[in-house]
Amino acid sequence: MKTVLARQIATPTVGAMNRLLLSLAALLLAIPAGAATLTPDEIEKRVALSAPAPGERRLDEIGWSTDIRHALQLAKEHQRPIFLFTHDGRMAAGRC
Amino acid sequence: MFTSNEDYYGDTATVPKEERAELERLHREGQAAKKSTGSVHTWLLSPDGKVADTQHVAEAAKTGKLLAALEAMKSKYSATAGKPLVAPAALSRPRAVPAGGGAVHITARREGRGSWGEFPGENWPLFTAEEWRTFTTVPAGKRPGDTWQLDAALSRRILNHFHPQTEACSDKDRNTLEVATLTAALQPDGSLRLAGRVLLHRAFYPGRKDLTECSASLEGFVRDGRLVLVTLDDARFAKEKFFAAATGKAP
Repeated sequence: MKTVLARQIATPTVGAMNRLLLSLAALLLAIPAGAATLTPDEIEKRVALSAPAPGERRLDEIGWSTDIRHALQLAKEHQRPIFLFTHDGRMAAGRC
Repeated sequence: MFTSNEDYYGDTATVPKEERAELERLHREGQAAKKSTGSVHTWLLSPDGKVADTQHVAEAAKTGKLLAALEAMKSKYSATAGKPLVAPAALSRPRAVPAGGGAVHITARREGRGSWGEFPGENWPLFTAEEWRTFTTVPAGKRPGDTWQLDAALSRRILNHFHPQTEACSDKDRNTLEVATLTAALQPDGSLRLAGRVLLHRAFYPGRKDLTECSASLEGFVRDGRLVLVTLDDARFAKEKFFAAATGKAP
């Protein structure tokens, strides 16, 4: 996310021909169906490896207004200040 | 509140002009007051909507910086704790689900934490009810042990998101998806076991020509109308291991 730009993943340049060869290799190496290595229970457990942990959903505990005009209206009515974060992408989905 | 700039500007804009005008007013007022302004900022506004304080996101991310500004606003305006004015709700959710349709929830994250790994990236590709049936229904005549390729377009719709966080300034697809295959095998109990492969290349930053390779073998199942698909241990984004999963239910 943009808040943490300190470390950039190495991004190797890959030529078109190399990509094509890699694609063909990947196709050849694709695991055929029926050659399952995980049980359904193990598959279920692996979902948690990429899923957000409950503590990573704390933004959900805040009630967020969905547009600036609505926030301005609420602020005026209730005499409360406004916190606004402007950003690129989709913060709530970690694609930003 | 938070805003995504792509909803306000350019060919992806969706908000009405009055809403955009308010954001532009804040920028003008911030600049006039010689405060930090820009596309990725925190803004603290007074109850009458005036710009009181701003921080570039890199400043706001430093421990204590934003909190101190929030505390200052709280004191200045005697804000007291109370019931939220807007009810909290899950923020990561599908957008514009077609009537009768559904969404698959995809999560993907690097094995390491810290920069670009602190949170998973999530996507919610949408399906119509007919597409879901196409994707998960056993073709006529298949017997236990038989295998077949799942619909290529729908497989691509899911697997195109099987990559961890990168900088993403918009929802626009910038992947080169080279392999996205899913094969189903009918089980004696009527469920499906899935196996597959994804290989894509993606620029870590938008607009860059240097591409990062992302690849993984996949396994999963469809059982009782529920799809579960995960990456295996060979999943790599560049040289780093990553995990991704897709889950969904019949609409």
